[in-house]
Amino acid sequence: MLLFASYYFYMCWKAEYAFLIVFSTTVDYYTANKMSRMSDRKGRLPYLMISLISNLGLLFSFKYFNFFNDSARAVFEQFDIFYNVPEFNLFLPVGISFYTFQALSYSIDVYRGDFKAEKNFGYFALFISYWPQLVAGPIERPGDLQPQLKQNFDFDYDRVKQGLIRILYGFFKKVVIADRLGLFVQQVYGNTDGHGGWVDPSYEHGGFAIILATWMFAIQVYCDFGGYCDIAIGSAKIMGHNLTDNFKTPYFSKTIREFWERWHITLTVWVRDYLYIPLGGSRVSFGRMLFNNWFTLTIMGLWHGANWTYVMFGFIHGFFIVMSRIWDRYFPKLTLPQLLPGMKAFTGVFLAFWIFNLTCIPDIFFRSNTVGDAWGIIQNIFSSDTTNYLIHNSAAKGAVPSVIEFWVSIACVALLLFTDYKLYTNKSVGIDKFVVAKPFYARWSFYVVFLVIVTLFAYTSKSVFIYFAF
Amino acid sequence: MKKLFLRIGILLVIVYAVCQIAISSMPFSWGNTRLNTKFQSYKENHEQYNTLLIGASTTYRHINSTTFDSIVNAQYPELQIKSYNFGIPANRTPQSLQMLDALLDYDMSNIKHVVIDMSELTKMGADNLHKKEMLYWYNWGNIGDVMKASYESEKGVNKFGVPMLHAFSFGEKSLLFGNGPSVIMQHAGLNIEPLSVGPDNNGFYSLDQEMHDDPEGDLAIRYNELRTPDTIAYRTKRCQELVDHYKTATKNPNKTIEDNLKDVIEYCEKNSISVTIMLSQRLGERYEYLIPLYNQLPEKNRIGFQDPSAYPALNDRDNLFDLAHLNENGSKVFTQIFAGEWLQRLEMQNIIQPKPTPVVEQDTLNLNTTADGSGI
Repeated sequence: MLLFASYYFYMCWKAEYAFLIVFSTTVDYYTANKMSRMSDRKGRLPYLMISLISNLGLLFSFKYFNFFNDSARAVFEQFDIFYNVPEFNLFLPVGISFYTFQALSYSIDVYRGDFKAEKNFGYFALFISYWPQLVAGPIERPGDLQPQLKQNFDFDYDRVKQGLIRILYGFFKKVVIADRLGLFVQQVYGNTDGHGGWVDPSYEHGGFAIILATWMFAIQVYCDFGGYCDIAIGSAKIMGHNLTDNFKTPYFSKTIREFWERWHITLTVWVRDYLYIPLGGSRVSFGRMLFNNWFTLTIMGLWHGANWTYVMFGFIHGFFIVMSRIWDRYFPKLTLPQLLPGMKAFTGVFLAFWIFNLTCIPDIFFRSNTVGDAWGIIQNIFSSDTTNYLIHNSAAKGAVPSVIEFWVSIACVALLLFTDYKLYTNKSVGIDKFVVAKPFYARWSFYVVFLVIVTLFAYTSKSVFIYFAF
Repeated sequence: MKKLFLRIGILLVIVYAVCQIAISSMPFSWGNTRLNTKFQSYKENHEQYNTLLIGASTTYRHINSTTFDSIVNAQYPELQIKSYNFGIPANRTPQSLQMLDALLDYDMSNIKHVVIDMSELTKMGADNLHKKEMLYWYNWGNIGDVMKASYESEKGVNKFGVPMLHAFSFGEKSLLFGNGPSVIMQHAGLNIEPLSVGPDNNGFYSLDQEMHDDPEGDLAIRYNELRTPDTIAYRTKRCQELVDHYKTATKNPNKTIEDNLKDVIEYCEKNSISVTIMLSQRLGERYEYLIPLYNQLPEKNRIGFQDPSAYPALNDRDNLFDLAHLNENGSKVFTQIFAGEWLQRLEMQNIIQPKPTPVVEQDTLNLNTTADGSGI
């Protein structure tokens, strides 16, 4: 029934693309079972290659072909070489990056002997297509999810309650904060012409408005993706399955490396286990380790989408990681907590704010349509300020004035920060576990406050999850 | 399981109560900015007004209150007409009735005359959900009739779909779904669009004036793209076909709204308020319901402008702003015709005694004079 529901869920978007999941599932089921019958890695290798080529081939064809094709054309044109490979006009299948990575982790784990191949095709198909996390993760590992799918479902009041709490918090992040902030972000980032200019110069933004819109985008993308993950985790929990936490209050991180331990955790761990460590990880020379870090983060950037903006996003994050590793190696005692040992609270707030701002720099590329747009936006930070215009003129004519939406956003972000800070100081447990551990009055205050806020302040214009596009 | 549902139920009751408290702090007009602006402006001088003109854009853009008052008062000074135009774009007939209820509840002591412009009965699309404009008019008193009326007037799947959409929209209103910012907007005094009450502050705002005030708005597109001789000719022909087809139809499929309108007439007459129900010329297929409904109303309480051949000036391109609305000049023509027709209805209702009026050719109207030639 869950398998049927999962395929129905996916086919509601575009029915024919379900065949891609069927294809990926069939290939991986076949190759994994073949591999499980062989005792040595050498014998398994051809089957692993079939799985890798199939999954990466799907990903390349549907997501990256046009990107590499256009890039190759641009290079050839520089040398006046005739290049005429036509483009594919295909829709990007929703969630393809998520389910192909999940399928790959299964094949690689079976190849390595870390996981036994699933004999039941139905259970395996469900592992690949499990609906709560099918289109935007978390990217589950076979060892974590597959055994759970075989368990019988028993109604458990506490578990369902935790699932509902998680869903409520997810909706708060998505429909109250992310969608509302998108209104302002769109005003700045939606008005660029692709070449660093502005579609409508009379609505050109500059100065602090750019910084504000970028802060808003950083919070929007966290609430959008994090909100989706909360809803997915909560839904799975109601059905008796525990999915992996994908975000652990990332904007309270005090180093860039800590940030990546808290942001999109399942992708970070995937890339670490299947790319960074096979490249040698940190058990190589210092220079090689820096390269491994930089390379894996750039690939992670590219995973997000077929655009140089995403490559730049990963590249800049890679640069920050490399710089932090160099700093730690050569200036281990030159850190703020060690320089100001008596000012723990100040250094904590300062470092969290500093890391948040650092992560906003690659976010400019992440949100821009082209690298040219990103440079244009960065340059405009130094032009005249339009914050007042941004706050007062972002809403459509006839809608609720944007100044009201702005202050509602600020109030809700303040509530989010307060709640996330409470989670951060409680070892970053999920909101569900945090709330159920509280006394009656605090639990019910949470339920009433958040349900009233979600009901009254849901931003009801049409919008989709940002990570559905990846 | 039982425990879970019980607790979810308690939680929903608490949320519902909170929302109801917020709703009760609102004036009836809070969701719709234009209506709210009109209501606030009306409240300031409501004791001056004795005539309410209620309806959709065909009231808002077509009946110039100042001109109407001048024409009527020139002929019947004893009426001392002072009208307020409560026309709101896209108002449905049940909405108009709910507005009338609310206005009479607010203060009916000065009200002597009411004009209701019949428009769409209950049309509702999914795109209207979540819109603050859709929320202000539902209440426990009218939702049943709205659902019943839409069931009666729709066909096929819509027979169930449209009533469900209304019910869903009512549910949204009850829970104020997504309307927290709109509540704040109302309490912050920002739910106001000052220009929409028109230059004379009596609710009439011509489309030409609005296009002049907002040259970059949608109206300029409508004006330039829709007002072509071909489209106007087609529109007039289509209206005429529909009118001819349904002219004598008496079987009214929408009994609920017919009963609502008759109840309003009865209630107002008991309170010495004259009621006139108007049917403007309309696009679309809704004549199928509107004309049979119109035919069921007492003759003394109705005025029909639906027949294009009877009012050629209202289809003259020079008097049109777009396919459905008159321009400033057209509104003067319409107001003059309307005032004459309305006075006849007052005569039929024995509110005034007949006076000889000069015959005026519609297509040669001198727009600077009233029907009796005394000047506007």
